[in-house]
Amino acid sequence: MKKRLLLLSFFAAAATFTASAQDAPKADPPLVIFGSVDTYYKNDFSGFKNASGSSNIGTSFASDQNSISIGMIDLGLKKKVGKAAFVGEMSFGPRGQAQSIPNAAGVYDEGTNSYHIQNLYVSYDLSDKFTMTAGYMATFVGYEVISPVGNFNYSTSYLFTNGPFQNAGLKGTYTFSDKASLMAGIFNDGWNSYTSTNDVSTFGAQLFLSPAKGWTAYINLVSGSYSGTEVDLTTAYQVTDAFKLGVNAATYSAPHSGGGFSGVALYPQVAASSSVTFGLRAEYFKTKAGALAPLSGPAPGSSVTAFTLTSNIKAGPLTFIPEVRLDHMKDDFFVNKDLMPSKSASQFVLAAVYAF
Amino acid sequence: MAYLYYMKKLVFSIACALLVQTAWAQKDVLQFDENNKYVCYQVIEKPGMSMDSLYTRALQFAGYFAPKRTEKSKVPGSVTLKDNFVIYGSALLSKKEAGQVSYKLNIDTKDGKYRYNFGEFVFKPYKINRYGSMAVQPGVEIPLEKMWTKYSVKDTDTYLDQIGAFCKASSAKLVHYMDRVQVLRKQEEVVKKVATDKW
Repeated sequence: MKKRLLLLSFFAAAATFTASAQDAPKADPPLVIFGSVDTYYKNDFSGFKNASGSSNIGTSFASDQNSISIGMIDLGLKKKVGKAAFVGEMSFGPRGQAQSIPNAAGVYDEGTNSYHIQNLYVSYDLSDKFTMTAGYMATFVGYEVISPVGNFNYSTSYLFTNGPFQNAGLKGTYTFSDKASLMAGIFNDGWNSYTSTNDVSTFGAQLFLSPAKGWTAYINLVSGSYSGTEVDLTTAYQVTDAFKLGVNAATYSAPHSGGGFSGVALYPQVAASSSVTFGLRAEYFKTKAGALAPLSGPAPGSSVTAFTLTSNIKAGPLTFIPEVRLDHMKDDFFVNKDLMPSKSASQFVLAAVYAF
Repeated sequence: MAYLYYMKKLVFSIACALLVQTAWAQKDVLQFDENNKYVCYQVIEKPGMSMDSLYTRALQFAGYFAPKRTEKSKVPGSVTLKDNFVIYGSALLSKKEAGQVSYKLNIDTKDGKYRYNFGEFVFKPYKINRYGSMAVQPGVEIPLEKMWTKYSVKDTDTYLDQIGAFCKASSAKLVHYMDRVQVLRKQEEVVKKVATDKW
């Protein structure tokens, strides 16, 4: 028994030594696991529920009416050794599957999608300032992203839903300083697809500027004859410790057939405490006249104004997101509680997002 | 009864191990200065060594430790560098970058002694970006003294421990460098010449 105790003490001491040794900062961890899990409840105040289970407001995610539903489990691995790095991130669940990528037939169909790659790329630092990256990556365009961890609001904007989610391609990023960098690359002709439809003919570029401390601005261009051209400005300014203002403005022109959209969204956010933040998203989104019907939003030539009031309540790695949203269309688009056409729709969402 | 006796011993052993762990908390390396700012500070006597020699060694250390980060100090005999390092969260399965800590290191030299001072610690938390990489959140900077207002006691202790460990390891390198390094004078290039007309 004494031997056992001695052995136990030895292991305890060894474990303590090991823990202390690991406290020293390292240049890069050998392998990082990251991701998130999210779930939500939504209720459209009209009570309307269509055949697919969703309701009036049709922007991405948070779709299921009067239902406790799941978003996705997102699992990522990344590693960097010297100048070479990879990121592999995949998701399972409605948010990361059929709600964010079409299947081989080009249809957003829950029945045929099994999982979705969010990021799968390799990168190499050719110098301290220049990095090349190749693979399938989250798009560089826009303010909002697929992962709920990257967004303040749980529901998404019309600008996000109608813009690209991901782009596959090869890009180079040159960092002039911590205040400016330039990315340029060539991407597959189609957005949100692992493979090209015809060729690799989309050009993409991003100019990053940081005019002042806490202020970042990204000017983005993605252009190709197959997917059209979108010019986007995404900027955020941490004005004080408690107040942040974000702005997203974009215009998109569809190829050949005409049509497209333009819009602007403001994202003021106020931190009430270290764990509670309130934020508003105020968006104006207008569709251009033409053959292209938006993925979600008003018919060509119409517009919508949407206000989303959201709070982020943090409890460690878990964030609760209560949210109230009011959308007002220029023309009748929604239905009210009597199932009559309506220009307005409103909803409540309560989501929980765990990030690790 | 024998069972209870061994249980007591087991509990005592675990308590000892925990005490050892507590005693090794790296955050204890950090102190508060007269302005209530965290510093890691020490004066080291080097009898018989001139300020010039110590200053040269300090400069060489700064060049080795953080190339391109050393600033020219207006104070004679002083070396200043500003740099940052990454600290990690306390997840059990996988260590993830929590953010970077910027700091300032001053090394002041005098005849027969020198002092070092790690200070001006500012934590810049990371947030995962759309590409799955951890990146600084622009404009979000938390002085080390205010960490407890933003993070739990456990997280704050985890971060302070790592900052303490960094200071401890870095100051050990500095002391080692100041003790060991030879101040090499640049050898004058000897050009071999011969007078062929004198033979």
